[in-house]
Order: sequence, then structure tokens, then C-alpha cells
Amino acid sequence: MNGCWLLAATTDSSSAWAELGSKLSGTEGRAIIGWALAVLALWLIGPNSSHSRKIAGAVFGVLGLGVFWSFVPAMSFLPAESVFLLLAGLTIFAAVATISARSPVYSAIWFACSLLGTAGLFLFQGAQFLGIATIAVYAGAIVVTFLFVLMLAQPEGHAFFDRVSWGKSPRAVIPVVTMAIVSLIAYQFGKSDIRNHVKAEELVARTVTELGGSDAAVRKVVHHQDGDVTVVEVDVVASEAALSKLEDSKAELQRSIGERIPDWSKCVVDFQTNTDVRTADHVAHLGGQLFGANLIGVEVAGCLLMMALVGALVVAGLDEEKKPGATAR
Amino acid sequence: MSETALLQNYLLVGSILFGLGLTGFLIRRNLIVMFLCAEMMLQGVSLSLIAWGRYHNDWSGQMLVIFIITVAACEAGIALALVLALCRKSGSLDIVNWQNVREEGRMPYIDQEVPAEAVESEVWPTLTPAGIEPATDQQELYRSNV
Repeated sequence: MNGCWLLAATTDSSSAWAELGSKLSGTEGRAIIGWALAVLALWLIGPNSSHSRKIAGAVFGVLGLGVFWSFVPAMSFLPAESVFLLLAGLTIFAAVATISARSPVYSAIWFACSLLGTAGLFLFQGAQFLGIATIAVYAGAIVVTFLFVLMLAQPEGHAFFDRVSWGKSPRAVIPVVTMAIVSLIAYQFGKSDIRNHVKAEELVARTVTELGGSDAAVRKVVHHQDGDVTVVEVDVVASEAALSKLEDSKAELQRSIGERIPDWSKCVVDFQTNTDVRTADHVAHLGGQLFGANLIGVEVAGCLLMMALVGALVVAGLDEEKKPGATAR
Repeated sequence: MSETALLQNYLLVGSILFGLGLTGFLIRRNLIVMFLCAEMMLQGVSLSLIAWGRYHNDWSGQMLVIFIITVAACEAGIALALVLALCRKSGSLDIVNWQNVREEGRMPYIDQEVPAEAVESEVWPTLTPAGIEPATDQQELYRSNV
């Protein structure tokens, strides 16, 4: 009887373990594991942590990032993927170092490194102007102003309030809340069947290249649902002749897409030759947009900058000492 | 390279930057580090906007980021003037000095324990002070207090 119970318990527990394993490898389980790892990492990497705690936190952080990245599809082009991961890694590492550096001077310098990473990510997206503007405005002007103020206000460097937070329990609870945001976003990505969509888009790009031959280069493929019809937008760089050839073979293309991708059995292919955001005269187009459609916004931004300049002078109170009746502090 | 994969990767980086900035804003007490963390949140949002702009082949994402940079510059100017004024009044960059503007009926925050400063393992080189005869104690001279 006892043995029976023991046997039942062991089979029970082993099946429970198997169930737990399948739950943890599911989307919800991975989201919770990534959340826990990220919280643990941020809890360990504090401004007052010892060297060994920081290393342990970094290991947990890398594991957590790996779990989060298992939710998004890979870019399936190794050089692009590796450059992206390098830039994203630099950005995130420098961001963590910013919030965990003991000296605020190091915080500011790590923030500048994080900005360089972000500028690289902007360039990777083809936003040339913004990549350079980020370096010039943020790293060049804003971070330097921060450093000036630091040297005026805290010339001694270390201070006790950089080592303590708001007590032990708020310090532990805050990462739980903030990392829950990240984890929920990653979970949303993992829940959708986006991986299949990425594969399908790549298949469409290959099919169009096969049909169009050497004259048509696919710039990108995106799709959206319109009722139960999938509208596949294919952005191509093609000569007039190649484009008309592609238009002629549209029905064949739609049929072959429907055969290869069951989800997209009802699909409409829409060829576009838009001027892409990544066009060669990118900055000229950006300027056209900025001073064309957004002209009023530019004027408002100029007024805002002017008011900020005046406001900063008023807030800094530079003229207070000159007043005859002003009390000296 | 799939555009959808690119978009999702960027949105994840953006959300992580935003989360880290929010964490830093809430756990740090140095006014300047808090402002750096606010800027980090703006960077996370900018990354997402640019990724969406490319995905939809639309310039609005990049336009919004230009305006974000403008507003961030204004914010940095005013905030640093404010930080300087606050620091001159209270004598340090600690935000706890300004907790008397808190809600009525809330208990004040008092530090229970202040951890001792860790002994600096590295000694950084410093410039020799000009116009002063160098001290004979070389160890003392080259020890930085940063």
C-alpha cells in the first residue's frame, strides 16, 4: 500500500515536472523566466554592489536578454544580424552602466556611450540625418552640459546619496515593475505567429525575384489583413518593362503564394515603387518633409527653444545677486 | 532581410531602453542622473518611432524624432538651470532635500543606514597643481579624490 502510494507519488511528481518543463518552455513561462532574470540582474547591479555581485548580475542580465530575444524572429542575414546585435548590446550595456555607476560623472559618460549605440542603430535603419543629429545634439551638447553642471554642483565626486537608493524594499520592487513592461512587450511578440509571417514575406520576396529576373530588386515586403484577404505590399526597384512584366504575372504570383503559404490563400499583391525612407537623397527628402508638411511644427519648435532659453535664464536667477535688496545666501 | 523581423527587434531594444531609463529614474537619487535616465527613456521611444517609420515607409516617424530631440534640448536647458538653482539652495544634488514638498500626511523619508564608501582600488593620475612646490609625499600627490 505504502509502495503503491510512493509509486503514484513519483509518477505524479515526474509528470508534474514534465508539465512544469513544458509550461516553462511555453511563451508564458519564457516571459516569466526572462522577467525574473532581468529583475535579478537589476537587483544585483546596484551602485553600491561589489565586483562579484556586478559580474553575477551581468551574467543574469545576458541570460535574460537571451530569453527576451527568443521571442522575436531573427533577421536571417548574418552580417545584418551581427551588426545589429553588436549595436544593441553596446546600447543596453551602456544603459545599465549609466543607472548603476557610483559616480555621476561615469553615469554621464556611459550615457554618452549609450547614445553612440543608439546613433548606430539609427544609421542601421537608414536614418542618416538623425544618427548624426543624435551624436551632435545629445552627445555633443546635452551630455557636456550635464557634465558642466555636475562639476559646478558636485565637485567632490562621490556622495552618499549615489550609493543608497530609497531603502531596500523600493530598490527591489522598482525593477519588478519596470521589467514587467519589457516582459509583457516581449510576450506580445512571442504570442503572435510573427515567425510564420516573416518566413512568408521572405518567400514572397524570393518568388518576385524569380519572376522579375535581374531587372527587379525587392526592397521590402510587408503585409496586412483586410477582412479575410491578405494584402501583400511589395516595394520593388524595377524598370518600367520589368514592372509591367511583374504586373502581368501577378495572378500567377498570387496563386503560387496561396499554394506555398496556406494562411495567405486569399491574397492580393500590390506592387509599389515608392520613394523609400532609405532613398539615396535621404537628407533632401527629410528636409522637404520638415519644411513642407511640418513647417508649422518647425516654427512652434523654434518658439519653444526661445522660451526655454529665456526660462532657463530666469530659473537660474543670474541677476538676483545684482539687486540691491537681495539677500545673500 | 525581413522588415517585420527588423521592426520587432527594434521595438524590443526600444522597450528595454525605456524600462532601464524608468528604473534609473526611480531608484537613483542624484538629480542629474535622474535627468540622464529621463533622456534615456526618450531615446527608447525614438528608436521605436524610427523603426515604425521605416516599416510603414513614412517620414512621420523621423519627423517626430526631430521634434523629440528639440524638446529634449529645451528640457535639458531648463532642467539644468533648475538643478543648479536647487543645488545652490540645498547644498547638494540629493533629491531627498526637497521632500518637504510631498503630499500632506506622508511620512518623511529618512535614511536608515548609509553604507560606507568602498575603498577605491584604482589610483588615477592627476595633474600636478601649478604654482605650488610639489610635495615630497608622492603617494599623496598622485592619489585622486574622484
